[in-house]
Amino acid sequence: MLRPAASAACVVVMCLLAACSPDDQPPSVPLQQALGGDVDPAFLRAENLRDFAFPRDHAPHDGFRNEWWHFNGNVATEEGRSYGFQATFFRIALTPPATAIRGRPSRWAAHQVWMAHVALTDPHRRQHFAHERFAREAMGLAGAASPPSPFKLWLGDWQVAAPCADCPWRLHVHTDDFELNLTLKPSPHVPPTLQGEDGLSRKSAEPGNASYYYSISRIATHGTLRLGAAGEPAQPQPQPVSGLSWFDREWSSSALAPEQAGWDWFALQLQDGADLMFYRLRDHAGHTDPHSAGSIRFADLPPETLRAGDVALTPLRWWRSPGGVDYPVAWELEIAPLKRRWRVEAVIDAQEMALAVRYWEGMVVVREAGRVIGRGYLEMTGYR
Amino acid sequence: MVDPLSRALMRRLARQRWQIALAIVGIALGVAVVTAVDLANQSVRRAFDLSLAQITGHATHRIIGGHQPHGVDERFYAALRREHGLARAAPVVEGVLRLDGEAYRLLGIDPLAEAPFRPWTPLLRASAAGELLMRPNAVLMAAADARRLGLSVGDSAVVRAAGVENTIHLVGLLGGGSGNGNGNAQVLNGLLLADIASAQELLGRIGRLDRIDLILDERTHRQVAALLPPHLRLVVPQTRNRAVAELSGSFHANLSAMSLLALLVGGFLIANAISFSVLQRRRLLGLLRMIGATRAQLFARIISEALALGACGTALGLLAGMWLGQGLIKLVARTVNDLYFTTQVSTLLIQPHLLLKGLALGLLVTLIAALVPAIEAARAPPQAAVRRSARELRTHAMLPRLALAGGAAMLLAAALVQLPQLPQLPGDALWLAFAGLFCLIIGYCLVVPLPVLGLSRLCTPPLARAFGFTGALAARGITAGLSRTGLAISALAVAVAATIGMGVMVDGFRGTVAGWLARSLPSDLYISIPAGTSRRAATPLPAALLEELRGMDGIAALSTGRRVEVESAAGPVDLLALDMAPASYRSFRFQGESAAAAAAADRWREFHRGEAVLISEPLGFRRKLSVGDSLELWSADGARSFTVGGVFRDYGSQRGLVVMDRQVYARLWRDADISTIGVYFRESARPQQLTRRIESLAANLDARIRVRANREIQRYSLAVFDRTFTITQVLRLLVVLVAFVGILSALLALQLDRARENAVLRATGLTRLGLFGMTTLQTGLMGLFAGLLALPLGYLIGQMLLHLVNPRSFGWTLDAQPVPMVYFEALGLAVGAALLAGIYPGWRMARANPAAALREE
Repeated sequence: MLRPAASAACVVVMCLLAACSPDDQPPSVPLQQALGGDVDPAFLRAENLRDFAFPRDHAPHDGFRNEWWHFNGNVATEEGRSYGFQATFFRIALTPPATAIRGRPSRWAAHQVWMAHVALTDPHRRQHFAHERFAREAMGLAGAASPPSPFKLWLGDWQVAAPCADCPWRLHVHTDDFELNLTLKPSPHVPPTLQGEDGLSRKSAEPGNASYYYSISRIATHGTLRLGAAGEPAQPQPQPVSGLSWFDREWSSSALAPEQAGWDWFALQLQDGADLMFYRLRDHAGHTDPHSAGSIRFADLPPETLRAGDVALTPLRWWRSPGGVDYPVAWELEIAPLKRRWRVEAVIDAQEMALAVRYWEGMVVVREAGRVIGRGYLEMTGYR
Repeated sequence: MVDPLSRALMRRLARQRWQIALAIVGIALGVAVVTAVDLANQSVRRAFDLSLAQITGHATHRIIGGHQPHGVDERFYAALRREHGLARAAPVVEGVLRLDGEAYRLLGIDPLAEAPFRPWTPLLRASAAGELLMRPNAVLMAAADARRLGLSVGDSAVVRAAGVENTIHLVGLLGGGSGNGNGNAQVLNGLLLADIASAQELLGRIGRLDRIDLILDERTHRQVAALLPPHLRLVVPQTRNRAVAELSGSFHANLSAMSLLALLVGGFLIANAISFSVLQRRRLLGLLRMIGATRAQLFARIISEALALGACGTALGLLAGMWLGQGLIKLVARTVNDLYFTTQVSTLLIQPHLLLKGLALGLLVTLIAALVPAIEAARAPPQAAVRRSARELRTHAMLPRLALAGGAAMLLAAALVQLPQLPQLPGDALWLAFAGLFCLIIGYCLVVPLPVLGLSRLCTPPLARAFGFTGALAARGITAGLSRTGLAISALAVAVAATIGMGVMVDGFRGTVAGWLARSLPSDLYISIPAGTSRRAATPLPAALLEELRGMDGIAALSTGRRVEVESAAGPVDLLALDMAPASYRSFRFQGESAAAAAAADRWREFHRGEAVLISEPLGFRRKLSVGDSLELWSADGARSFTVGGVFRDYGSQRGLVVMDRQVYARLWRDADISTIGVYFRESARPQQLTRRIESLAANLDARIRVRANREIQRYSLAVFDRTFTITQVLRLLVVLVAFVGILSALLALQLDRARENAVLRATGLTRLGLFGMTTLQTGLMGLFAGLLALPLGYLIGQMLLHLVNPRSFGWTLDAQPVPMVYFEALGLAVGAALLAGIYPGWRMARANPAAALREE
């Protein structure tokens, strides 16, 4: 999962830009455009290897400019109807903690803002719902807990929280279109996958242009899902669901390099217990950047790193969004070290996140020789 | 236009260019004033509507503090979002800042919650947003305002709010940048946009919101309604906006009516000019009839002539109106700002339909004014030698009939203004008052020639004694030419009376307010923190201050008050909770009661028990409340009914005011704060010394506290009053200008027309000086008659404006003040303009060769 350094001011602007009156559509900003700009040198940078410790590192790292907590998952009802969800919380520091103005009388004064995206995919009805929220870290409107408090992050009443230090996480998301109440139980025996070089994930040749990045790629998930528009007279009952979730954590202060146009990010969970993460950074000509990377983890074994050359990506089919953006919604992945060739395809094409920040992220199915071997999530940015 | 009829008439008309020019100027001025007022009114109203709409945005509901004078606790907002998951909710802190002496509306928002509510989108430049959130006192302002103030992005400026100075930083501009924002750019004038944290800090409203804007559907509406604690209310913003707009409606209506007065005067001028041109060409018209022109042709001819003049005048008037409107808009906006709503308007919005309205009004007035002379022209008998004397005799014979018609019109006026008294008759009382006013004026005009006859007969003997033959001639000349002089004098009387009426109204109003200020500020000193940051509540004074004052020597008594805005069933009302010193009771004067009755003990008993409240006249007027009715207010525990114990006179707020016992208020609204203290000195105290002690005591507690002597407040309030009424004064001056031009044109025309008579006089031996003297005397006399006859009409107009129009517009009872100056000024205006009008024709006639003048006929 890769969402480098969204420029703080830009994101705030995007919130304002998201002015959506019923008659005029919100002007949406491509995600990669929001990235960049000068970074205040007072922010910490991901330059050196660090010792990860959990659950400490689940909590925010305030010295860095950007940080996010990303959840996605494939769940199904008892009758076997499948759904995909994603929920991402972004923390954006407007100013480094060292230079933030303290002691202002108003409790609204804040130097961090939060953005959250949630989405639900219903392949059966071929529907995709995406929602966003913004809030400042003040007045308890949004934030994240730090140790010794148990894990918790929230924006309004959207939240992921653990009642105690070792308890499972509870995800609650409530929109006009759906409501999710899920319990996520990371396995206590499998440590998180540290991506890149022991969790230091370099995005370009420039030192410090990197993030700290780890994933928990397989989390047993169960709970309820309610579908239905707000205000509907007969609201459908919540239905029990269960499945697998993926948790991605990244923090940094850096920006995309000017030559980088966007990325394609795969998070795949195979039926045989293997999980693969791979991101391809693209330049403006569509070529793969050498800093593209990933990892694969077989069942309970330690993860193995994938380099840019290890995975060959070929778009197979394109879909044009209502906004006129073409996204490749079916891919061929050729994983050289494994000598395997997969077809990864969106369960429905229309899974664009047409929010203040625009990108495509959705539920995919993995096939090998025509046979379904896994499910996962795909994120694509920088297309136009 | 080549037919011989036209050519003959045109050639004759061309000799009257002075008259024509002045008639055009008359109608142009009338149209200009109407158009200017219309344009200014509409521009201000539109700015006002758009600002309200902009501030309301797409909110369907808002939550306001139903009782808490401090608004809504910000924690309630946080709870709505966090515990109840309400996503479409935006906090707003709102107040007024003074920057460079001008009032600006500060809107404190959370940019992160704004998206669904207010379309700032096209107006905001990207880079500003981050700074807005981060930097204390960072603001955005309309590009046009910034230009006017000479500020650019990155600059700082000093503002005042609640008596405190602060520095704001301009981090970006609203509007004026990209192409698509221009349509809305003007909406943003007068607005400062800040992050909610900065707004709370600038306005001293830490911890409080003025409101929470919401977009609710059925389900969330139920949800929010169920969550609402009893002291908060969920309201629909649109109805509240309407109430604010209605409040200023009367003010705009009054301005429009006064501008119509100017047009009416202009109409008289054109009537005068046309009828004159008909009279002068009477011989020619008779001739034309003899050679075969039909009545209809002549009628049509005169009407089209008039319309041509009217069209020229109207066109000029529209141009002048646009120019004048630019000047008036500031004045109108200032009044609206002072009285109703903070908005900055600097550019005149030229609305085509208003120009069309001006055009239609100008032509219509011309048409009506030309009807009588055109009928007269059509009636011209087909003979060459029709004598003017015959016509004059007929005019004299008509006088009683005219007077009768005038009397009838005046009776109609009286009936019109009485109509609203009959409850079963619907209709807008204010517009009926204006209709009555116009009927009165027209009726009076018809009556005027009769007294002119009497006056000039009365004047003849003394003038004959004083000036001999010329004196007698001057007076008799008016009677002899009554068909012309009568109309001219009527027109002049109306013009002068209009200036008197407006003068009487403004002075009466000012006198009433001055008297009220003197009465209603009985304490020697008043202590408060200057208001102006929030309408919802005055800033409370530190509790320690009252304690200290109680223990201070030299103080006889203290009054305390708490001024807040509370909610009633029909929207917000201002409430003043008073704990009065014994002497303060005298400051109330109740509607329809003497001062003695005001002190009636049982009223105050009920007041102290909390059963009765007192309401101000405007509130009673707007809500149709009188003594004994009940008024429902939202206290801390929900709705509560009070009896209206009295309706008192108050000119401080057009919105109206409820006065309640402070102990009762403190109990029901759970707010023991005070925001004003009135200090009565002991007889023995040394006022200056004591004032200084109190000032230093207050300054030690809070630098914002202001201690002001009652005189100082009176002076200040009257200055505000005068500022508010500048627009009325300007309108009055414009009417005076129209009147002046009218007098000048009418009398000038009259004397120029006399050329032949005067030539006869010269031929029969009158000296040049004698002729000049006679001319001047005659015009002066006519000016005097017009002035004298204007006095009763002016008085009546003034009374109607004071006692009908104002109560029906604003609910105020006003006392007429003796204002002899207004009447003297009017007389001076009439006589002065008349004398001036006599100089040129007198000089010309005195120089003219009598033989040539005689030949001309």
